[in-house]
Amino acid sequence: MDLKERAEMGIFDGESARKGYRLNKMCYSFNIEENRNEFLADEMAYCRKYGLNEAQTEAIRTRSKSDFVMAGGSLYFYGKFVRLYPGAMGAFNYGSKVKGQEDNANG
Amino acid sequence: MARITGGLTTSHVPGIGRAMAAGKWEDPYWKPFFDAFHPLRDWLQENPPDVVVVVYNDHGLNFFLDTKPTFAVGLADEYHTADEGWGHEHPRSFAGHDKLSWHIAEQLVENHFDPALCQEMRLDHACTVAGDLLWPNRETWPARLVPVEMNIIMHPLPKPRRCYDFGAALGDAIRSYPEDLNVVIVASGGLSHQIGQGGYINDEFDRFCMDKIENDPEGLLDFSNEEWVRRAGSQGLEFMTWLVMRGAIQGNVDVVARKYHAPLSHTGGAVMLMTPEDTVASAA
Repeated sequence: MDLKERAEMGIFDGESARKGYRLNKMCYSFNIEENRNEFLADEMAYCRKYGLNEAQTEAIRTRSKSDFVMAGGSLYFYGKFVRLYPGAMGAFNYGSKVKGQEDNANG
Repeated sequence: MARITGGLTTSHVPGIGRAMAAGKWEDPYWKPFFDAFHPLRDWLQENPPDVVVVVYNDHGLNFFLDTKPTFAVGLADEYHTADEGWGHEHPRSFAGHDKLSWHIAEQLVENHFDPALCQEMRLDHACTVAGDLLWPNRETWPARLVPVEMNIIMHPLPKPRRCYDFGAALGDAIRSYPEDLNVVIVASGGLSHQIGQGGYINDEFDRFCMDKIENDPEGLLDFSNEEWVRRAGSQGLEFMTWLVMRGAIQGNVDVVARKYHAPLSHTGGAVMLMTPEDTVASAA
């Protein structure tokens, strides 16, 4: 697998870990409620506080999973990020299908 | 001597915890999965363990990516839950078995496995959801806990054979503990899924894994992690917790219960209970 394919497959390795350390560290900080509130009060200021680069800041702004992953983010920490938005989990967590079956998403 | 009386497995996605918290035991979406636990609960009632060893992966609660051990053993006499990022009503407490934990750690290192030694460990949902499915609607569990955490977040990850061998060393460590204790091993994880990506449930591979874990676990040990991800998605590697459990039991097993239900949230919901075939013989 090349790097892009590894990232798309959710294989979070040294390449991603080096690139995404600050982004993931910011999302790890969301384990603490006052950090979540501080972020939600001014998202861009919070990104600057953690020293996010342009691509990472953009991934936060758009909440795009693929941008987040390509900027070095780990899917586990993406989970902590998107859970900050009411309703986001619907799109995030559910909607799985069994391979070969049509549209039996539920939940 | 301590003995391993059973191995239990379950999926652990956070949706299960939320559904339990909301009391959705009879909800048509969740009921087939929750009902699969009845035989496990009956068995636990008839064979109450003194200790539950839960093998799971932390999701960025106790460990961040600054320091990520490959294997970690909790050594505390008490553990607590904590906010994982989506709110937390109050910390729950779970009694640990620190003496057994230290014995396990010593024996693992003696046998050339070198886990991180954790005298404090915040318990991730992957650990608590598994126990809550076995003992629902309780603030805490009727068995003392030894948490065994493994890296399934940041590659390089331990390979299948390493996980199985680690499990074998874990099992030997438990069986060499001098006190009479009944111990169950719970593997929390999997099966096939990839966070945030529908379509990664591979029920054929999941069922293949459930067959193999029963009858031929060695047949799973030569997969590379990349091959595993291709078949089961990146979070499908949580199945490594099952290999640790199966390694600990060794030998032939009797499968007391087995259920597969998909989709469940974003994973294949898989539940198994197996007991070592020679339990009675070794106890005699």
